[in-house]
Amino acid sequence: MPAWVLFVAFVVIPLVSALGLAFFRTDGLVQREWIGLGNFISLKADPLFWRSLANLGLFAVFTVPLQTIGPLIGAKLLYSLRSARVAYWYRTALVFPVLVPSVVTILVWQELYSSSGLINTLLASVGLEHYTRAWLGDPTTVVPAIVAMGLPFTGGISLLVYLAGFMSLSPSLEEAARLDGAGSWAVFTRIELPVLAPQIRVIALLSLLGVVQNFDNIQILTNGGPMNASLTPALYLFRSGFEFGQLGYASALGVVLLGMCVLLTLVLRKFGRKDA
Amino acid sequence: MNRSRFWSQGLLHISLAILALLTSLPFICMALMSAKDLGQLTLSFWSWPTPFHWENYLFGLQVTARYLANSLMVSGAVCVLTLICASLSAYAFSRFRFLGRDTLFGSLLMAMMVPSALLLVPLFLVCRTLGLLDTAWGLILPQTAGALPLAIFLLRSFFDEIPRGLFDAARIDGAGEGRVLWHVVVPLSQPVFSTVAVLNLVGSWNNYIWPLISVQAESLRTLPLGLAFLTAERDLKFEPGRVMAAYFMASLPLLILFLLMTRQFVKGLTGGALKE
Amino acid sequence: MGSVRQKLRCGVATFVMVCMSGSALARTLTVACFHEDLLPGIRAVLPEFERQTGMSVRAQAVPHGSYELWIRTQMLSGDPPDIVLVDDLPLINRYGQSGLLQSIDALFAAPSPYDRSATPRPWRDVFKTELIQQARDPSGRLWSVPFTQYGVGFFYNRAVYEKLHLTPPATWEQLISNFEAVRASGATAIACAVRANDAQTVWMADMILELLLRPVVPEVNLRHAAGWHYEVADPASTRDEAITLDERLVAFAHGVIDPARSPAFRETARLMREMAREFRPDFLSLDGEEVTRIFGRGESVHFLNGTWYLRELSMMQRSIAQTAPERVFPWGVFPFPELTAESTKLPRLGGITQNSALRVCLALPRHKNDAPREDAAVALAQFLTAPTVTSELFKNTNVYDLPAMAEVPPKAGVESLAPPRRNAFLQVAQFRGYDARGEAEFWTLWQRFLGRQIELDDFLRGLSASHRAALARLAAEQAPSLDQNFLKAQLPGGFAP
Repeated sequence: MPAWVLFVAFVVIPLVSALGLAFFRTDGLVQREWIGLGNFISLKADPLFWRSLANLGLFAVFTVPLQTIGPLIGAKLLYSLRSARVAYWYRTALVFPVLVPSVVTILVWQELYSSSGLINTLLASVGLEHYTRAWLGDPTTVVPAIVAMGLPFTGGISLLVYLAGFMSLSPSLEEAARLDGAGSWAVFTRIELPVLAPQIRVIALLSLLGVVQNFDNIQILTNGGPMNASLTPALYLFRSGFEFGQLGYASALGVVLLGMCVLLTLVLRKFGRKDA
Repeated sequence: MNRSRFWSQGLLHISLAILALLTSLPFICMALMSAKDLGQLTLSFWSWPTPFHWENYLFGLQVTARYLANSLMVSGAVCVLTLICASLSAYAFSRFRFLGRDTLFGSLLMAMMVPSALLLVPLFLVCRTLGLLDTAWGLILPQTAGALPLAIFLLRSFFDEIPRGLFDAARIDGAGEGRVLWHVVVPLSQPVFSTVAVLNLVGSWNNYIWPLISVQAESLRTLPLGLAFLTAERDLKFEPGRVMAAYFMASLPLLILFLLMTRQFVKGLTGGALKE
Repeated sequence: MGSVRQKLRCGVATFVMVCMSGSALARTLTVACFHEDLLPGIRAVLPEFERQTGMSVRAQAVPHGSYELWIRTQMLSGDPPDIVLVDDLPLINRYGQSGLLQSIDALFAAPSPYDRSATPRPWRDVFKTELIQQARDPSGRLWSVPFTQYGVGFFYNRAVYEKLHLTPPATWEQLISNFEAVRASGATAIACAVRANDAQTVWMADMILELLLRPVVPEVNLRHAAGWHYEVADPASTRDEAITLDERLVAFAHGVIDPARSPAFRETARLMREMAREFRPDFLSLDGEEVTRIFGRGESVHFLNGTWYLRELSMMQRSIAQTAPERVFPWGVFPFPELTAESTKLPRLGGITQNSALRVCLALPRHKNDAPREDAAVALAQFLTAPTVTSELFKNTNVYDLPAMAEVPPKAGVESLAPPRRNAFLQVAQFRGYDARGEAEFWTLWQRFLGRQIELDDFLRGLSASHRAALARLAAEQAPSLDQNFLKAQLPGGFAP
């Protein structure tokens, strides 16, 4: 199958060669020294690694629910519209901003968060000077501030996935329920949600993976600071590998991260099955 | 139309309009920035550009014209190849029980969890070995392979929902697997196909890092890469508005494509009817 | 007589080039440049090189985004560019230590055929000695050819200075009192970027630390040439010296450059925190570019940066003048002020040196099976750094960086950022540590310290541990090249990690 040829050549082989480095002390260039589990042992003793994991947990707790529920609400609103033509335009407006390069989004939010930026100016103008702060420069607000950049969390692609789910709903089922006197809320929770359960699981999983993978935004905005309050494992991995020249260590981090993701997926799946 | 329905539709419109506005904000900002010069960007980030620097768009147009063909070719090929390969595999995963199916599918899922930064350099080395550097295939194939796991995952979760009865009916009519896929599955899955297509287009359209490291020849540069090189070559650091205008123009072809493609969703509505 | 010698030298140069072009006939060299502003100058002088050697040269601008990955893949591709112009010294040194770059030490000892100086001299004498010292890696080796130098000073809003009757300060005390006066008037004194990797505070700390460590230079440079002694006013006094890793290990173990025990480190940190009181409150998340925008809007009265910002600010103001002329204000630059007996009780030798660091260097990637190609790259590097060529090169750019060559004059307008005097320089210690991982640890500590989450003693203790660990890592990596006898004699107990 063509898919598998491509997959093996361009994903599996690089993957194996990258993860193999986890057992070496190497800068990934020419020097290479076998150190067995050495990298994993130093990883276990590395406070930055644990800090980054904790940060990742925090990011996930904020991001995953928002990115799962936000697009669902958006899709439900779109689905409830009676006019297909209007729905088409709203759908376009909700989806096409995924085209905007992240450089632009980052610039906009930097301007918003700056200590003389729009948010602080607005707060000050309504008498809330007390709440103004350096949003990205304060270790207590930096994670929520980065998460908030996803506003309003309708996430174009996820919205389309949900919408595809809604489209495959059987209208007659809904009508039957309405004839039985079920309100909109009951239709939503009793009929639509159960049918959409697979989509919800998919989106939740994808947004979790997204959180784990994401580092370039954070790198540009705070580079993991202040005081490592926004350092994530993926960013730490990038910096270890390409900034500190410790590619072996970075690969070990990658292996651990991968292991944890797999474990988490298995656990989630198990729970998912129980529901079903 | 009764009164309560009128009000609920009104409310829907208002909330969707707000969501759409918020979502489009980065795009609007990009449009505003693209008509400003350095001074206007420094002093009045949020305000309307006066004077309006139309000439920025000339630059944008020039960049877009120069690299549009490459981008269309690469993104188009990535998109089509991904759709073909992924739908075949997803169909196999969904329809057949074969030895090691779950393990294989699990390995795909795993591939999505690998921190992407780790893979770039080994991937580069694979392409060097295969002689793919500085070729169009070197741009297309690795990006396709990278997009496959997610595409297969999404397609399969949709295919799984198609009732078995439909397949059996088609089979009784004497259709082979190829025909079942083409005549039953594909029409039913229009929404998810367009979702995957959008996902791929956006991903490869904005991809900067892979073209940067795998292509040296100017004739193969895609839009983001060409723009970055032009910015460096012409010392455009002090013309951020022009760069924004180029981003803006570069997003227009895709926007048009979107408008055409998401129309497929309407067709998807029939899926519900078929489902009974 | 002089002209005869000149002719003779020209003849030798031509001979060398003919030899080279014989083996490198119709060769094309590539120059990858991450500094687009230098490119017009490079392109202006290349035809002369091509004419003299018969080779052709392609100079290419490379976008700065993700340059680490670009360089890495180019290096691993087996066909890297012949010369890379980049300003990331730690990165260059890492590739050098991995054997992927030509070593510059040996090349520097021989004369450059393009150098037209009256008396024959080794290539290295073309450059400012102190810059060569700055380019050395922590083991004292050299992997890059210095090209431009970054002078650092305070950019200030002259309109505000006139309104508040302030004058550019000459001493640290005056600087702080100017900041206080600005703050008292309700404005922000200085926007300073301390986001991880934004070097502004580190430039300042390094300037102070270098000044305060000068008295201990002889205690660090233990293995020196016979009869060597440190002469602050004579930059050439450090010409053949280098601080090697073994010397640094000994100095650290003896406490001379240990942050927890060295008064110079303590004093540097104390002074910097005194200044940090005046920083705009979001300093922990600001980045360098944002700072310039903030200053350009008139939202802060000072910022500290290098020569490059002369162009950035002029361009910004020129652009602002087109739409909002009333927002344009006069600005100026003053050098980093002197420390006086009032600022610090520690002994000092000479005055503060204005230069922060080397900026752009040339790195020469190796082509292991193609010696003629490597030689051709060396010839091109020698050509580009020959004072006569470099003068022409800089004339064709808008670059305000100071040339790394002693005889090439800087651009007009950069005077206040150029070091008023050149001091002898040996890189005895670095405030931020000795490898990239140590540097990352430093940034965490530094943000905590300037953000007033930890006190001076904790900061110095943490920094000491980080420096020690980095040195131990380097010692483990480079064990074969260390002078074990010297280490045994100086550190009988070994270096404790």
